Amino acid sequence: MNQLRVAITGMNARPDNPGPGLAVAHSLRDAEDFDGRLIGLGYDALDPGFYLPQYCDVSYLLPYPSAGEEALLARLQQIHAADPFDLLIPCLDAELPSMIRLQPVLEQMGIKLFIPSGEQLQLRNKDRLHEVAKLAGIECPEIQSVTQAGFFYRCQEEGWRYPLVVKGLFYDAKIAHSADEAAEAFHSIAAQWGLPVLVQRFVKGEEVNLTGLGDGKGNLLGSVMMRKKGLTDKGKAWAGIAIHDQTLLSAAEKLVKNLDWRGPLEVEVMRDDEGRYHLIEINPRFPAWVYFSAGLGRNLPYALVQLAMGEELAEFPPSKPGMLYIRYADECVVPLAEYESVVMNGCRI
Amino acid sequence: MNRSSSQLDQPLRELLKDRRIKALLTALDRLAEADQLAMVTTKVLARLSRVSEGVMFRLLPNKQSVFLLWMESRCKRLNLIVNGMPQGRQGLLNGLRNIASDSALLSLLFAPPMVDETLRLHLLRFRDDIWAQLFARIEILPNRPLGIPSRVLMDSVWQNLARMPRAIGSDYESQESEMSQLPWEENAMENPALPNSESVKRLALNDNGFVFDPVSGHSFSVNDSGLILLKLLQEGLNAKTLVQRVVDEYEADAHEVERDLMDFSRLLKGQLK
Repeated sequence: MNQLRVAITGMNARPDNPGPGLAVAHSLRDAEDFDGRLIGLGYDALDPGFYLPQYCDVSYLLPYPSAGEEALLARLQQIHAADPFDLLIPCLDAELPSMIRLQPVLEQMGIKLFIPSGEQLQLRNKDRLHEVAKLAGIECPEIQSVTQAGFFYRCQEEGWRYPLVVKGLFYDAKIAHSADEAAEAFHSIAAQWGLPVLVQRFVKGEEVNLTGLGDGKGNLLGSVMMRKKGLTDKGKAWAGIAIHDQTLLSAAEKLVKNLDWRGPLEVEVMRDDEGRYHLIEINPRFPAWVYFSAGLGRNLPYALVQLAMGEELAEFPPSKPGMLYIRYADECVVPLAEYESVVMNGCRI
Repeated sequence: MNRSSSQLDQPLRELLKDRRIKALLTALDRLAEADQLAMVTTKVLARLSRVSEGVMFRLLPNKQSVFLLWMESRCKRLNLIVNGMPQGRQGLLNGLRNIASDSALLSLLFAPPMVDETLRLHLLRFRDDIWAQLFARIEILPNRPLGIPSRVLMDSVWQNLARMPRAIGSDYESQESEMSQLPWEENAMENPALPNSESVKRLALNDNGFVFDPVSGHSFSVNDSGLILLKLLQEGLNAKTLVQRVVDEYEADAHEVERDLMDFSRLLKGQLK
């Protein structure tokens, strides 16, 4: 594939909680048959993806989501006019609703997206996980919407037990061991992500994640499974080991089939002491550890590019359980002129 | 007749005091279950028990007193079980089952001890005492296997107890089934709790004893004896054949191999969950 131009969002990469954009760019750069131009998109002038030319040829700032869809569309049109691109890969959860709504306009501009529909996106919402888990044939810890912190002081009367998990509707999750801790988490999450806040029963076990690609016709392609071996303070994986569990794979296949999922996804499950899986979350994007897929010979970001551009996919090689993934922090040194260019002009060229 | 408010409050204060002390002791149980005794600070204890440090030191003079109270109350419970065991096999089994189903007692016996020298010695002396009491029961047990010293039998009982899972929410039913017979009894070898054959066969292992489970992602290492047993288990041998193979090939004592196989199977099942 030659001279394809791909824009990728999520260029933030703080070591304790990186966005997936840089990993997607890294995977594409590693794909032997890909020789395209990569355009990094981010929201903060300190996003490291802006300053790593080995991954992104050029980078642009986007307006924060709070500025609204019109501002986002205007900025994308401006970037596209100056530096056209053929495909846009959104990598952050919060971007998906806007991208789905803007998809017809973007496609008219000649920008392809390979993302789920609005209905599919809603079905994987945290407050509807039970329905999805049922489709996949796995369990799902009870989840409930909460709008007042007082809930945590009386929830035991309703059968809830501590510890429990307090979650934002779109992002963030905290384990609370007491009503006070839960109320504190509630206020902190509500302040950042708004109401309602969700409360989920705590499942003791190990976190196992699967990422793959739904082709929009009911098939799950190139799945990669990983058990988290090390977590950052924010609960993100900094080390993981590739596994292959047919039970989890079958559940994910059912899920994709029943939803006709289109685009990347990450299925987060807990494996309890008895080996049973409990669905915790479905993310409608690649995870930040997606570079692991490239390392395992199943380059999912490249497969997405091929699917989006209507190309035939080669058969994925067998999975390689036992391969280890370790994330590490690195630094880059940036000339003042480049930083200045991002701050003043919103782009690094 | 009117009573003063302090008289009226007295029973309530006592109740509150009892509850707080109970909360402190339960918090120490949890820390012991997590093998954290050696690292306990009053801050951690206060957080877990939800009894503030100030209140803690109004109830008891210092941290050492909290630990001593915990040991005394749990030791009392354990002594009641051990002293109350009727003589004979069934009595011993019932006693062992009672201990195995109480994670606080298991922690008292097997959790790494505290750093404080006085507390540590106190705990170790108590453990020695329990060991001696159980040993005395085994020595007078009828129908003991011939030719095996009581110390070896006691050792296998002690190891069985030490390997019982101690975390809250452990499967006590399965722990009780592990204690349905004494480790050296013949039936134990006719139907020993070997791990699921398919789970064992899927394991990847190398000659250094590094083992990887491709389904769970767990990796662990086994020693030379474990590696021999694991390779034979992967061949799908039943327990009797497996023991015989080890006895023939390594000129080992059959009783020791049986005991090792049972211990190893228990550890392996823990890894394969």
